[in-house]
Amino acid sequence: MSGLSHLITLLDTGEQFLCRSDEAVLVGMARLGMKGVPVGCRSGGCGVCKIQIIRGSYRKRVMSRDHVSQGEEADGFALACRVFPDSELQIRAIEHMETAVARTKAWQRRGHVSGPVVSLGSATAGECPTPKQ
Amino acid sequence: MAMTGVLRPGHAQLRVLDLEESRKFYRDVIGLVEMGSDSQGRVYFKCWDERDHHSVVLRQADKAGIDFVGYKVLDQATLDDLERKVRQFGLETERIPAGDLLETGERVRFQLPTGHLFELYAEKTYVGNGLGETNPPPWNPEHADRGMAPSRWDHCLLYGPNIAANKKLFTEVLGFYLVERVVGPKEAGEPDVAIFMSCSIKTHDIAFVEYPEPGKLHHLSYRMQSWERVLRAGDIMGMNDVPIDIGPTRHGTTRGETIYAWDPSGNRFETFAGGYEPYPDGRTITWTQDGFGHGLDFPQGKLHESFLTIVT
Repeated sequence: MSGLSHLITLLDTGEQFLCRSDEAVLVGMARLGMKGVPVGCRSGGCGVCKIQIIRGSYRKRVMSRDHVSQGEEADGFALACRVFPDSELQIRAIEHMETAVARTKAWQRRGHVSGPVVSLGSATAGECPTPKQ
Repeated sequence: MAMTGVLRPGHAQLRVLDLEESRKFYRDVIGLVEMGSDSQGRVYFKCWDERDHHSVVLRQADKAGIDFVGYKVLDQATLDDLERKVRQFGLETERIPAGDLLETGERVRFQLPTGHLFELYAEKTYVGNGLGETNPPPWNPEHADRGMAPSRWDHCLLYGPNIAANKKLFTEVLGFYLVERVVGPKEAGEPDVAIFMSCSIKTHDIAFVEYPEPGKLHHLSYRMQSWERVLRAGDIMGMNDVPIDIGPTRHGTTRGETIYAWDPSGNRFETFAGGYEPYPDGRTITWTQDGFGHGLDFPQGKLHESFLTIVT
């Protein structure tokens, strides 16, 4: 049984994606096909998928305090793998996530990436195939 | 007698974000045998073929990672002797009383140069594997097919700074030998960046990777009886949407056939089979910067970023 879909806007780039209320924001974000969306443990422990929710309502699961302090959590910081949208959300990328977003913007300017790319043969969802050196 | 000193990895205490969720995961998905809980609320597990009371302890905490690991030594005299030598090496030790960890004797605890809390102990209650010691069948039908059902907790890989000092401690004081290593770039003088050390004839009983933050866990590793059982573990991961890091594949380093995945708190674990039998009279295998792609993932020759960088 799938939940309602909500529109999530990544403020860093203006890109938007749909995310069901029963799936984590990170899953929806991976569908953007951004180069190297940091998909780590997907369990709230490793901290690479940090975002800040600027606007909107959401549910969250427990996250490691190594990566999101109580104060930060109150300010809308969270790990994208543990956030489930209840409404449209506006989010921005933080730390590792921010680096990945910036890298993709650079690639897009150079014309290397156009639109969502389905990754094949990679252990991490959403990782674009890397061209051979 | 052949095997003396430090015998094997004995126990690991893991921090979990949701104890109930983790209890079910370790019991039903990984397929460890639940052995009880203590007054602090910690939950204890053993792998089905282990003989001592427990090997994995879960503690509810607000962050993931490893609290401490403990290695079993031959006897009390060995424990006293090693404590003396560790202190001579320059590390402070403390004695944790028997019973602090269920069914476990006194533990000698010290902090490694990499920041990890490491313990030695001589006594843990023998409970057996449920098959008895007389004419036993080869596996326990009650436990051996439930979940992934690893035979043993085999080793851990820990990340932290100053692994060179760890190498010195383990090889010069604790009786381990260096089986394999990965080195850094030639320009930096090819320093050790990963070390695999054994106190047995396993390819490694403990391993360390050089990393700026202290006290980090890369993975706890569970031994499976065959490659087919590793693939079966992979099927169970798929059935349960367990997030996989890498695998099924084989490492060049140690030749392990393996899958890595994350538990519900983001602590990485490994299910592996194979390897080979090194001996203390062998020579250390070295993986260079250029060769380590195959060292990590022999078929693909790929340096998987998530594997190399994500820790708890």
